[in-house]
Amino acid sequence: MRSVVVVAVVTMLIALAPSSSHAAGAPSDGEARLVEAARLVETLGFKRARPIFAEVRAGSPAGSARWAQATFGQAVCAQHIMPLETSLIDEAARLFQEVIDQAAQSPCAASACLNLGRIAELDRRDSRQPGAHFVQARAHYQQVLRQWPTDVAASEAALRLAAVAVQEHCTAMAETATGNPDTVRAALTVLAEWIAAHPDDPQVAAHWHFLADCRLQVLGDEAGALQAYIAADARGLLTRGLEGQAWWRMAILAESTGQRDAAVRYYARIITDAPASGGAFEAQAALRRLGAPVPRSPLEDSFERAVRASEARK
Amino acid sequence: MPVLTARRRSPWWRHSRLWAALYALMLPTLVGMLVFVYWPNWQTIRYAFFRWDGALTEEWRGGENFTEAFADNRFLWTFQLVGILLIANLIKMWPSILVAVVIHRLRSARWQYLYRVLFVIPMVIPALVWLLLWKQFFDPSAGVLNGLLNATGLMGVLHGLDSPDHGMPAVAGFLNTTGFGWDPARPLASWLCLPLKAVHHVFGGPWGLGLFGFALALAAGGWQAARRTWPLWLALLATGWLVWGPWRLLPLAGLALALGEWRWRRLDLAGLGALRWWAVILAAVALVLVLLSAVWTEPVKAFAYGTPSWLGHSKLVIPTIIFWGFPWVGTVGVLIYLAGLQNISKDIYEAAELDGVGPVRRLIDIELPMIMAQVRINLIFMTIGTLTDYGLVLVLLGPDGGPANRGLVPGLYMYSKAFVQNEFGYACALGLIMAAAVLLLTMVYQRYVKVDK
Amino acid sequence: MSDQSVADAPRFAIIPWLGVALLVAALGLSALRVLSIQRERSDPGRKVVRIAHWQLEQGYREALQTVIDDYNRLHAADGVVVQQVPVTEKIYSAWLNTQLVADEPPELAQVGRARLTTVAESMAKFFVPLGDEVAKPNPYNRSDLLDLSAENRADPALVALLQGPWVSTLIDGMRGGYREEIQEFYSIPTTVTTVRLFYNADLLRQATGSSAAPRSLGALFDACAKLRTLRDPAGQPLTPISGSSYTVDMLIPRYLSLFTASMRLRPEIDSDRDGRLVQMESWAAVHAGTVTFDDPRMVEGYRFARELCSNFTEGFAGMERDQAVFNFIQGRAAMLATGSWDAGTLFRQAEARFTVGVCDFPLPAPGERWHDLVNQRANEARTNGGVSFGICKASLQREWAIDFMRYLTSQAVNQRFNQANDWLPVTIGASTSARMRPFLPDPRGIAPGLDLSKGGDIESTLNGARLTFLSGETTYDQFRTTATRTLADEGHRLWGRFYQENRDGVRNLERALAVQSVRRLMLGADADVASKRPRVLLQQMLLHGGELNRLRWRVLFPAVRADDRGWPW
Repeated sequence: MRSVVVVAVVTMLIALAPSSSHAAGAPSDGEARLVEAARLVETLGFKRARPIFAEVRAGSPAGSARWAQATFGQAVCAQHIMPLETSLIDEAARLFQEVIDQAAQSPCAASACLNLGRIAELDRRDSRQPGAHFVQARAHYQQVLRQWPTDVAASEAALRLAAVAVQEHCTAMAETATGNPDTVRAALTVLAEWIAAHPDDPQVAAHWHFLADCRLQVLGDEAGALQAYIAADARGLLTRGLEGQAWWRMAILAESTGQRDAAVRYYARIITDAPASGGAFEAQAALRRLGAPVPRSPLEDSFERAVRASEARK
Repeated sequence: MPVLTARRRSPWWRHSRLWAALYALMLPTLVGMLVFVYWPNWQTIRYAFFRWDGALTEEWRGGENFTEAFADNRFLWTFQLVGILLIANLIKMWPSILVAVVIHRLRSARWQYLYRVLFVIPMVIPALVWLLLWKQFFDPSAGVLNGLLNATGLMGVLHGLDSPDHGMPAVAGFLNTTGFGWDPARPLASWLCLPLKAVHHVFGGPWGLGLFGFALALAAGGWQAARRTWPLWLALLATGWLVWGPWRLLPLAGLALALGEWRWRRLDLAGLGALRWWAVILAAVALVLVLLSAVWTEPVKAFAYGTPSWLGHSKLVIPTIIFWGFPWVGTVGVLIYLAGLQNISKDIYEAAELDGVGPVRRLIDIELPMIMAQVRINLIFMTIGTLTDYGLVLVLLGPDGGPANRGLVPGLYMYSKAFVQNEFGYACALGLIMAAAVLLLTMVYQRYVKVDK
Repeated sequence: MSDQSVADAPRFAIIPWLGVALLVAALGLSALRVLSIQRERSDPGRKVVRIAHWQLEQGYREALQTVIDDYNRLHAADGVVVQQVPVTEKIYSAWLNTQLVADEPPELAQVGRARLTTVAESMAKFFVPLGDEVAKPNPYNRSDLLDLSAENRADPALVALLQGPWVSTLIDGMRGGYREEIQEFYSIPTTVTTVRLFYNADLLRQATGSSAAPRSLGALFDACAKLRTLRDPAGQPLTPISGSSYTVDMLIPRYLSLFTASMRLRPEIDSDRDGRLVQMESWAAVHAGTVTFDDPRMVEGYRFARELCSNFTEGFAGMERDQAVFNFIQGRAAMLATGSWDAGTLFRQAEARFTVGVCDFPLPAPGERWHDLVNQRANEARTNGGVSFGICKASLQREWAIDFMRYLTSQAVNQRFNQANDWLPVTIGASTSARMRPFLPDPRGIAPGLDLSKGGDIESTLNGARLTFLSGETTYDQFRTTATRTLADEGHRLWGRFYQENRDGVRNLERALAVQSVRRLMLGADADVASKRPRVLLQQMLLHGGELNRLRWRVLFPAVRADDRGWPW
């Protein structure tokens, strides 16, 4: 029996050894390990990816491209591991800061700064100082715009700046019943200026859409919202499957602001381009009310055809 | 010639092979228990301190789930139904005991064996099947229950009892409003209300009467016994403050204690049993009055057409849950009691027969005390089941607990929180609170339900 | 020892070993089965694709097996074998969750019941994103494989659409498989479902003289009154409509949303002006007092519901769907409201007993009561595809699993499959059988009104109170009092939940954005990330970090302090 136990223990140790050596990894496989960790992140395997990123980071010269990637990856993992822990958030913040300090020229640096802003927004709320985390977040977004104005992250930072102002206003109103709509207007103006300066940014449709939504729901500015929605639509509405609702909104706003032609245009688009949105029937009624031609809905046509086809199968 | 002697081995080494073998044999079971029993329980405790949606969101909340649970009126309200079910299940334990006694007393061993087999056979049917069958029984139009009630005329009796003029609602109304005043239009009822008036003035109402019965039961052992059961006396005083009121508390508690001490010092020739019988009688009368005045207070108006909806009418839901399983002869319970009864020595029965002990006294003085260990076990399991089970209500009434959420028990609320509202962390906290309640009650049973060895 | 006992000894000696033999046999059989499955799975020449679902309705498994057999024959040379794995609905969730977590899932799994398939992030973790695949054409929609009606075949636009991207070949644009939260397709729907009123045409003729479906609400109530004069097989008065708590959920919200449909057009209710009332807007309107239970539309809507339910089976509140279906098939009730998923069962089981008719839910005709409040039906344009299947990431035969789904949703096969089990096809150009024609989703009509679902404990209390009101136990005043009191007492908790859900949504989308960042920075930028990132970003932006809900909470419940129980911070 004793010998059996000894053999069993030795076998277990041997079985564990390859897995631990596998976990240790060979330093020369840094690129491969980086890709392996990134693939794990794709499947939300942050817990498993974090030690691999740490291993690659330890094996790369500080400030190098691979080091920056590994540090960024490790920080992202620490930021998103559940359950949230202050120590992990602190680790993420520290690592992002290291990327900014030691690899500012790396493509990861701008995103690292952006993520610092996200950490401030999401994880640094302090009930004793209600708005302090927004101030921190704003500082980081402004740094992104200042230091990396052409990076992809800058586009997002511009959007986040406006979002911070909106959240500040809502929070202030919730706490004290007196918000600051002027701050929101100012922030949205800054956003609009950024959009005007970067009309071809690949993400600009999101900027227009957000601008429109804030003008409508936060400021009650129907005309301004409609103008922004039209601009977003021109660049392709981003919410797949919800175009019909967006066009309905635009049609309602157009009617409300006396722009009949725009209203007719968007009601018609609901019928012809988004018949499955659920608003086509009422858009037809609206067009009749406006005295405009009423297009036929392709969905109605296909429904009637389906009815005929099934009756033919009797 | 050299004398060969065995090398002396220490006791530890002598048994090491046996121990190692035993531990090795136990290892799979232990590992299985750790993995499939203890690990999930540990996870439950852990997640009770988190806000967890069952998927990826985990956020530390500390004790907030628990403070929220104790302030959750809906959760606390579910214990009201559990209280009712506990009392009902205490009564529902008795048919199993009586059936076990009857089987035990059969003279023919062959018939005993046959009945035991007949009791085992239904065990192969899964519980879910039983529940679904009972759901069919409760069907208003095609169910067996309504058919039986209609065929036997009991539906008419129920309809009569439901009458607002001369049925239970009338009695309840009488007890609640006019029971303590003279109504010249109803002289007979008014005479009957005089004792009720006395109960109201002396004890503060039927609850107070029941509480006094409980106090008598506690005090029956005298002052010394009272000192040993001081936690129960504390609870009694706290409850008495609410039920009797401050002016009646000391006099009534003192009276109960004095009666107990008086009996204990044998100044009263009635035995220990008499005082306890009085306690039981008072408690039973109080319970009947409470039930009459609190339960059937308004007409249900469901029996007129002979198709009451037992699961669809909010006033019938609780009686239906209580009635489920009629005649409440549990297979496992009968077998457990039977096993206990079969351990009773025949000499005791012979001695009882010689003393002229009748069948009822035999039950009360011999058989019941001898199976108290089994009763206690079943009591514990029954309590755990009543507090934690929700499968019955879920299958019969759905996750909301039926019309007006009348059937909402703590377990079902926990289930709803977890699987309907995705608040798994909060549901874990509710589960832990229920587990603590079960543990508390178990400790009370262990301490106060005596097993006479 | 007696001779008898000696003779009995060998026989009795065998009995204890019988148990051991049974145990060993069972273990052996299990081990053999496990080994054979493992051998099957690891056989390189054999590609097994398992498709798991919980649809145990009569006809579905048989129809699916026919499709599977055809596919297996088609790809016999490739060694592909598709196997059906039907699992009971009640345990499907637990079964699939276990399989997914243990990394041994089936290749295809029906989504929607298991927790790991309802949460978007879990879908992203365990299932293959299909955005790239659905953008490609479906090769099984080649023109020579199509089985179109003459009219459809003559429509070049339809044929071109069928040969275009796979996503566009489904009626709903594959919306049923799209996860808005993460802006990606994760499953493929295979059918659409609608809800209709089934009726016993023979009983209807007996009562009213005509077997035609009631054309208006008044005609329906009139028919119900006449049906009551008949007797069921047991000699009891016939029940006009077979009711259950399930029927209530099918029928009543459908009508109530018509009564409240005009509320969508009020800007103070439809705050984002998109023409739809989502749960938050509906609850906000109720909590703010913009909509109360004194509103004439609400009062009349519930009065109508009560009157309709008075024609249901006695005690319907305590009954379930199976009992309602049973009563209808047994001829104890003349009508039944349920979905197209029950059509096959009902047609098959009832065809020997009576003629089954199907109709849409009637509306008040001009001059009838409630016509001024309800005169348009609800449109079914947004009907999403259902019975969707996702491809599990851990599966070994991903490509073949996707290919089978292409096959199943191709025009000809989907048509054949859904006709065989009396369901509705999801592919455009696929026609249904004549008796399923009434189920075709009709896009004409208005959008629904208030949506008071996902209300947690408040919804549970309201549902319980609604049941007692609809069954006639309580009056509308009592129901209204309960509802108003519940909203006042518990309303702030609901908004705490909405706030928390928003913040969770923000975090979940943050994870999705983090994944995209890592992909862009470490795996090379790709078009998918570039196109998807702004959509996910916008989705997150529009949640406003939950602060907008916090603001609404403060506006709606100014008297509730921030540290009251039930509030998340």
